[in-house]
Order: sequence, then structure tokens, then C-alpha cells
Amino acid sequence: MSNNIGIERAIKELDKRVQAAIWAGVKSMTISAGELAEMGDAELHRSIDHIGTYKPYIDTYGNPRVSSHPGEPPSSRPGNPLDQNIYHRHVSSRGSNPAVAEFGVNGEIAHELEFGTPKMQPRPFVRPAKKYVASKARGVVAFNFISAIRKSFIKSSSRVIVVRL
Amino acid sequence: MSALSVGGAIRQLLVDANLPGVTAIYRDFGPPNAEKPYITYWDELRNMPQLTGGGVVRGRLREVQVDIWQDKTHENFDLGNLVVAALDGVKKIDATNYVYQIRVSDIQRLVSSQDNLIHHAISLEVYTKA
Repeated sequence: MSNNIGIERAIKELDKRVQAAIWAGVKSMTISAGELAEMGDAELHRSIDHIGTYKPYIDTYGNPRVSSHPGEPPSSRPGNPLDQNIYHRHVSSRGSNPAVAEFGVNGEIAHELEFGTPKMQPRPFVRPAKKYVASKARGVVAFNFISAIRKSFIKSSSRVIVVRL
Repeated sequence: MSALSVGGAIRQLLVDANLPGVTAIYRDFGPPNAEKPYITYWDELRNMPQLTGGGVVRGRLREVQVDIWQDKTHENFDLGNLVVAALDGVKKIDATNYVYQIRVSDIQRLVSSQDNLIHHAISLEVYTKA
């Protein structure tokens, strides 16, 4: 017979204040996931918002444009189709574990720019944004987790308990 | 004989893997009428400092992309895995910039029904001596 007990039963056996703090920590993951997805969205917008310096061309709307260098993020001004297709959203519901949110770009042109075609060099912008978000993830999660636990203890007790993680 | 470039070393690993059916391996672009399946590789999509010490860059991280181009109607479903197996985790290659390790960081399979094309985009992180 297994000695393991479910997490919910284990939490029920704890002090109510500790229970509330743990659930607050779990719920903070949803906030963290959302913030990281927003961060990725903003990074995508930022990375493509520059004027290209590689080759002039005429876009599908007949406007003169200049492409970005291969290997660099594509050049797209705010409001252009690539810029408009950037999105972020929550995937999991609040309080679910693990918390999942995502960011990205819709549309075939995004694939072609990110990975290239037989005739066009790749101009990665989603992969660098993913790397940027990953580098910030630990800090964001830790900050929200500690804040949530601290707030929960302050709310449930007149005595402040300092939690160091 | 002079050492291979980092891109050349990656190409050599792919050649040594004897990938079934692959007609050729090209740097950057294949020729316009290249027979599929063929492979292309982009060396140095990015090249960033990785190890620094004493004010000197001692190691660099190159981002390289290896692409497999196949006809959708004659896709070899194992080819992506074989390319990954040939490259992922390879260590200590004597190239112009000594390669410490190659890591496959991402694989995407992209389908274009319009062009009857399957594109595997395989992203590599290549850790080299500066």
C-alpha cells in the first residue's frame, strides 16, 4: 500500500492559514503565466518595430518597404498584418496546476519569416522572444509567489509572518 | 589540411549520417530545381557571447538552422529524427572555432499543401570557443 497521500488531503491537515497561503501560491502561478505571456507579446511587438535596411520591395498593398537582414527579426510597423496577428492568452483556468498561457503570431507569413522558405532566409523573432521570456520566468514566478503568500498571511493573521524562499 | 568551419563541420556530420534518400546538402539555399529531399543549413543566424571572464569572451553560442525539404507526397517520416540523432549532443569537434557541443533546441514540421512541401526546421545551439 502506498504511503503517499493526495496533496489536497495533506493540505487539509495543515493550519488554515498555511492552507490559504499554499492555495494563494498556486493561484499566483496563473498570474505569473499571464504576465509572462504578456511579456512575450510585448517583446514580439518591440522586436519587429524597426525599419528594415536590407532590400527594398513593394508590399501586397503597393507600399514601398525595406526588408530586414536575414537572421534579424522582420521589419513591421505597428498596425501592419504581422503586428496585428501577435496574440497572448491564458490556456488554463485560474488556479489550475500547471498554469499555462501562451503567446505567438498567427498567419502563414509568420511561419515563413520565422523559419524561412526555399527562397527566403529565416528572420527569427518568436524564438528569441521565447528565450527572453524564459530568462525572466524564474524572477516573475518567484516574485508573484512570495507576494501571494505574504498577502495571504497578512490577511489571515494580525501577526506578520515573514516567509523567506 | 585546414580545419572545417562550424557550418562545414555540421555538414560533415550530416554526410556521415548517410541519411536515406537525401540528394544533397547545401549551405543557405538549394538550387532552384534541387531534387527533394534535400537539406540546407543556415550557419550563424545569431552569434552571441556565452562565456566571459577577465574581460574576455571565451565561448560563443551560435544559432544554426538545419532545414529538411521534402515532397509532401513522398515524405520520409524518419528523416527528421535521423537528422536530430546525427546532431544532438555531439561534442568536441575540431573546427576553426572549436565546437564544445551541439544541442537541438527546437524542431518544427511545417506543411505547405499549396507547394506540396514538407519543411522540417531544426534549430541548433552550437557552443564554440571564441
